[in-house]
Amino acid sequence: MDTMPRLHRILDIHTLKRGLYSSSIFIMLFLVFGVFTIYNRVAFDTNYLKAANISVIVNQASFLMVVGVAQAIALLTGDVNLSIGSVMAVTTVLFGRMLQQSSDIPLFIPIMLILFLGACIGFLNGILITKLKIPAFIASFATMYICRGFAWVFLGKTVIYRLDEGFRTISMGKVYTIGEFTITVPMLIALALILVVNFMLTRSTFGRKIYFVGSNVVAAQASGIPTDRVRITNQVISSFLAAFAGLLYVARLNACEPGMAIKTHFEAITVALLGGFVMTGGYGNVWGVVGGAIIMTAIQNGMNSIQLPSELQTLVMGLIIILTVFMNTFLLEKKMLVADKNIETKKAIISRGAQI
Amino acid sequence: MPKLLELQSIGKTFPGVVALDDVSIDLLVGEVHVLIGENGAGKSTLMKILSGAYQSDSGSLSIEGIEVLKNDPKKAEQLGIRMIYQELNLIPELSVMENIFLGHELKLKGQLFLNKRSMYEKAKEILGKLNIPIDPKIQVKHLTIAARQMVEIAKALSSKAKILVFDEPTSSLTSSEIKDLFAIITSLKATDVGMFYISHRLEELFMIGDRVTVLRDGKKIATKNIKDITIDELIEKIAGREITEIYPHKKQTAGEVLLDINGLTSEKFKNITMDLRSGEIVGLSGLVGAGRSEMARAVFGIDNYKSGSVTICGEKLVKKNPKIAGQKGLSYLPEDRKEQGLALPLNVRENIVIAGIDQLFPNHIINTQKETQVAASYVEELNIATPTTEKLTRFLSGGNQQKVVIAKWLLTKAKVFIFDEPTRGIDVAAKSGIYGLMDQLAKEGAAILMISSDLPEIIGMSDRVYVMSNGILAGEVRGADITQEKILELAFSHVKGELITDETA
Repeated sequence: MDTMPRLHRILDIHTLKRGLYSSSIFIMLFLVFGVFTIYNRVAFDTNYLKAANISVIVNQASFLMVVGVAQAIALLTGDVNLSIGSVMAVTTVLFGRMLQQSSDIPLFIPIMLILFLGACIGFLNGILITKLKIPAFIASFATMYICRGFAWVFLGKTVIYRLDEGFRTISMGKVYTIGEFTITVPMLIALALILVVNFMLTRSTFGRKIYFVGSNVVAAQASGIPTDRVRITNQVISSFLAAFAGLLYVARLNACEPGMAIKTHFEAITVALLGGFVMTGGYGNVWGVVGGAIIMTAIQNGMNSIQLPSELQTLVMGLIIILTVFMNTFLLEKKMLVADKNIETKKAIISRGAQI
Repeated sequence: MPKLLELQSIGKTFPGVVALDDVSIDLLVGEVHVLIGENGAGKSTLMKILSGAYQSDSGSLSIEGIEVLKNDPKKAEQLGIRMIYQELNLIPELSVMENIFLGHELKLKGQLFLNKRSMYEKAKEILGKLNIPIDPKIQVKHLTIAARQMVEIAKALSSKAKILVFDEPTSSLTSSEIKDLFAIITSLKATDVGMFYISHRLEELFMIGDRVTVLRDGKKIATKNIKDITIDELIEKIAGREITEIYPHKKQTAGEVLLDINGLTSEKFKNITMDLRSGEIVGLSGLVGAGRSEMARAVFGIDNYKSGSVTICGEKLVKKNPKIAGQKGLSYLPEDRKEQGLALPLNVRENIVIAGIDQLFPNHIINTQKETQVAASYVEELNIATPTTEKLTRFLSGGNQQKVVIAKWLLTKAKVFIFDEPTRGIDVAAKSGIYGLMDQLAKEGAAILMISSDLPEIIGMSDRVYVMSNGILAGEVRGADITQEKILELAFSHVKGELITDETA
């Protein structure tokens, strides 16, 4: 009766909390930074690890963290959101249009409107997935095209330049400088987001339901969890965050254009996978996204620093994904067994302590 | 008739369960040997040992007098053993002849290309011999279930088959299709093959079988010539056994009605009306596929139903809303704990708390300390063998996993429990633990519906028993009428009818 344990069966969020899992992402970080530091030192005699460079990497990674979280949430219920990049495009194009039409409206009105629009697209994805029973991969694949199409319809080939300078601080603002390391507004935004989402996932009843649905949707149903509602809400949050990420991206670009973020949904999946999330759902810690985003940015940044041709950069990214996912899955079963032994021995020690 | 196959003193043990105990059986050339017994009696295990899917722990297997030392699926195939399963193993997109020769295609000289012409002719010859009027070039997906079954038989015969095993071949056939199938089986009797035939439908056995072997609890009860036995004797042999004293439930007077199911109807079941009263354990018996679990799922709101109503403690439940059902005090413990009851990658605490999480934390924020305390209290109360609440449920034994599922519903203060096969795959000691818990719940005023294919369990635990047959509530038995004979008779009652009517299951 026992079939081979499925991927997500192997995995457990608590082992992760105990840092057993996290070690693999640290190993990756260590490897990535190690390689580029040595290479830069030997080849160019420059210091890759200098604070200014780290600051640049973390700042860039902050943007990836936002889309990574958006994707990670979708992955948790065993779904996926391929429409992230297109949602970013269509919402920000509308945002740009609104600013263009009337320059005197308070900025928060278009912001609220497009965040709401993002949530609506997520709702549509959720309905397609749960009620029409279209697999998330295909449903969000379709809405990816629909949103991109709307973005082109709204703006054609034009680009809206020069956004409000006050608005641009969400991406360009600097808060405090320690030595050469600059703490920027995007870093703080990403940090705040991670804290909020982490709280939602680990401490709220809704978060628990998400993991339960992702671990075993049939058991979740049989436990009285409204699984459809959980999955729809998850998609809403995911696309809402995509719209939010869109604002960050256009503030950085200082332009709204329909062709933006054309590969972002894949970057988001990469970041989430590097961060330890799995396509089958039910597993992953949102802090992993921080590591995933930094690894990915460091690799891109590092490959630029050693002047690796961009064709090779793409190739290297593919290899990195395979390596990380391998570390996350194959080694985890062993780690989990070790963790289980730990529980047993800890208990034994406690009871022996009690006897003494 | 010469002896084709002999299985001698076969023994097979799975962790916690003796599946086969000293079973000997033989097969003659040209006979149909029927295997019969309740679910879990060991029929499938025995056939899996024959086909090499399982290795027996003891005993021997010999074919035409020559002992087969290490049997495995490949060897079994070389020996000419062919299984024809309930779930068909054909590839729908391929043609009939491609399916027939799948794995041993005829090739042209040079072994590179398929010899389509000779495959066509050979397929036509086999089908013709069996009197099956099917064009070998038609794609299997265009065929009815019955026709596919016949193609399976043709496939088995295309390579030299000696022993055919039919596993419930008629479960989805209409009566005229069954006649065609039986004609083919009868014609095969004249050749040099021998056949095992597994079925729940007693009448069929008398139509097609030569000998019958009854298995019960992994033991062989009897082998008889069909001519020498009646249906009543057969039922008695399938069921008859003593009930050991592991069932603690003392019958008591039932209280008010807690669950009232009225005229519930869907595609899988028709017009089910039953009630459950406080303090009683009600058995729900029937054959696999009778629609028991489907009905339970609809009552709890996982699946939809067409008409009828479910009322709990006087309040009518809305359709397809397990959340409301849970809040109103209904609970459902699915038949497959691993697949449907637990999130195995999550730990004991998370699994215990999940169903009652909204009641426990009405402001949506989990208080970890309180959560752990609550979970620990149920671990203690139900005596779940785990060092801490943090152990992953996948590392627990079957009995303890079941206790976690029960704990989940104790937390919601459920009043009505639907247990679906509560002790399947659990060892005897853990079973009595589960029975004790069920009795405890009934004493405290809960109403329990226990779906079970284990007759002694139904008889030992139930105050009264409903029996479903083929989607229909075949009857209710109470008190002294709760006997295996009576229940089995009801369980088979509508299955028999199906042979005559043209309805498919």
